[in-house]
Amino acid sequence: MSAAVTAAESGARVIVLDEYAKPGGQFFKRTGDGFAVAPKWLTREHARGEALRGKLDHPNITVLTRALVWGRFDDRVMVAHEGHSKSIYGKALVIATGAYDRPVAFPGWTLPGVLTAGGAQTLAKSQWVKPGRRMLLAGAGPFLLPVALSLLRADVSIAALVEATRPIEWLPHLGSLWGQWPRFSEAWEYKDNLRRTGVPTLYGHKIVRALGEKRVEGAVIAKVDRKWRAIPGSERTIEVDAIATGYGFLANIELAASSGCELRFDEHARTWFVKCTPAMATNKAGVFVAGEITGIGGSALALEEGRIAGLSAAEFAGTLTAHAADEQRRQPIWQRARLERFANALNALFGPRPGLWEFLTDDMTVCRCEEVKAKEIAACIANGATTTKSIKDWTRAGMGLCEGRICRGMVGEILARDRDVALCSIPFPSVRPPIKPVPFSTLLQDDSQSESIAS
Amino acid sequence: MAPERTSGDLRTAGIGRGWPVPVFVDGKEVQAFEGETVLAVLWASGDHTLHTTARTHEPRGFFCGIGVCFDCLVTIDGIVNLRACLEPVRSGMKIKRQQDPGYTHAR
Ligand SMILES: Cc1cc2nc3c(=O)[nH]c(=O)nc-3n(C[C@H](O)[C@H](O)[C@H](O)COP(=O)(O)OP(=O)(O)OC[C@H]3O[C@@H](n4cnc5c(N)ncnc54)[C@H](O)[C@@H]3O)c2cc1C
Ligand code: FES
Repeated sequence: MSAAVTAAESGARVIVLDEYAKPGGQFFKRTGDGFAVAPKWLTREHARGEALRGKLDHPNITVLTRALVWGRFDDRVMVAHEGHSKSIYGKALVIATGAYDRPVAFPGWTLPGVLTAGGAQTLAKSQWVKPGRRMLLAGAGPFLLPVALSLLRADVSIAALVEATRPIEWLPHLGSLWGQWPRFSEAWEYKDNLRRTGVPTLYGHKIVRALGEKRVEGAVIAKVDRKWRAIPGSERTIEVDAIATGYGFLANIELAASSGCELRFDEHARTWFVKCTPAMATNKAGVFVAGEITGIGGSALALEEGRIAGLSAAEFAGTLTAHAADEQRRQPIWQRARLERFANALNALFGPRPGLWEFLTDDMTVCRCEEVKAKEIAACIANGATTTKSIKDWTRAGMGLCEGRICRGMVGEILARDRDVALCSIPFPSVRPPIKPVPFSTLLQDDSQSESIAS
Repeated sequence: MAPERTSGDLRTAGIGRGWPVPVFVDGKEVQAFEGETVLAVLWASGDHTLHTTARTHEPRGFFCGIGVCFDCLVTIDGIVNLRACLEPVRSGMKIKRQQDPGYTHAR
């Protein structure tokens, strides 16, 4: 949204394409039409989201929702919209496809009621439906706090918030976090809310098992060492009917990757992002990026990046002079550098540690779609497989409808572990369009159109 | 706007919802509300098995909630493998929980 508004205000004609029913992405997610939510239930970001969404109502901007971009060929993007396929022409393209919670396998993680933290938050915040009556939240990092708050607002009781790190580990990082007062006050406000509602936070713990036959009936947590390995004998059972985990994010880089954008591996987040210049340009001329796909940094950073990318796209499309674009980019580029330092410090502190993957053995389901177990993947590696691609061909892990988004990271961790190589040496598999499943009937219904910028 | 609703299901009490919309879940009429997703309607009912898997017939619920994992697959008006978390309800919609997801490949 931020890129679209900036580009439009710089004179470009913009088409916003979004797979969801409403523009706004994860942070500014709205409740469905028809909900009437009293203001006391709404958060500050709601007002900011509405303000930004209001700016989309600009004569230069066309918004197309429920529009899945499934590929890019030269200067066109391919869109599946309401059972029809369109190709939309644009001089410049801004990709801001966001991120999803990093999937983490542990015994029982496929039971109904084991959720990602973001998924639990979405159901509570945009649908006002309780993911469970009494929940456990487990993960690492400050993102668990807004999730807890959304759940409390939806009247979910939270048995405990289980954080893998310990405050003492935060001390060495205080230097790089220094000066980020707005972020701290936000975190403090969230914390204060939790304290007042009596939600206990257990530091240095993680989830080790979900209990139940057909659905979650309980959770087992354990103390962890510095590498997040469970300490035997420290287990404890908590009665809950849903569990949400939030151990960081993976970026939706498939569209950018399939468009030929260069990627970079992030050591702290242990995953891939799109490589870009300070002006948010990729190695592909006319393709710009913004938000979580360039690195996990939260909404404030994503907004600055959107602004920069919008200016760069308008410059590329010829509605803004190079000089004006340079001028206007200066301030957001400076802001971005500042916010990025903070994001990097958080990623270093809360990024996944080896113990998180200790359950990837034996009968543990790794690929949820095709139900492939860790031992099948390990056997395949023992037989000589060296890439996620060859494992996919042999075991079907990653061949299901999610196209590897859920299991890919864990398959990579098993490969790195069993072959004793660095995770960064395992290439991100090549992605070809369509990047998400599109029915053939849709591909055959083609009505194309032209526009100047797709974003 | 429909009146506020308080009930025993998993919908948060005290939140005003849209107009009631009837939908059919496995042939049974269920009351949904305008603006809800199919996932919200199914989850609120308390039956959290959205589909069972092809290989081991495990029950599955939803996982990511944002359209990424394809674990919330249901059949809507005869179209298989739709993501319940992204589909808004429409009056008269026929929703089916999938036994064996709509995969057609042989294993
Ligand atoms: C569930 C969830 C909850 C979050 N909550 C918070 C929070 O409370 N606070 C915080 O600071 N951060 C939160 N985050 C982190 C959040 O990702 C960022 O703060 C911010 O939303 C990033 O903006 P973005 O533009 O990069 O991506 P997003 O906001 O994720 O937006 C991406 C958009 O791209 C669309 N899209 C993706 N792929 C396609 C495609 N192929 N075709 C068409 N459209 C597509 C999606 O529909 C979506 O609207 C959350 C993340 C998740 C996953
Ligand atoms: S819950 Fe993951 S796609 Fe719907």
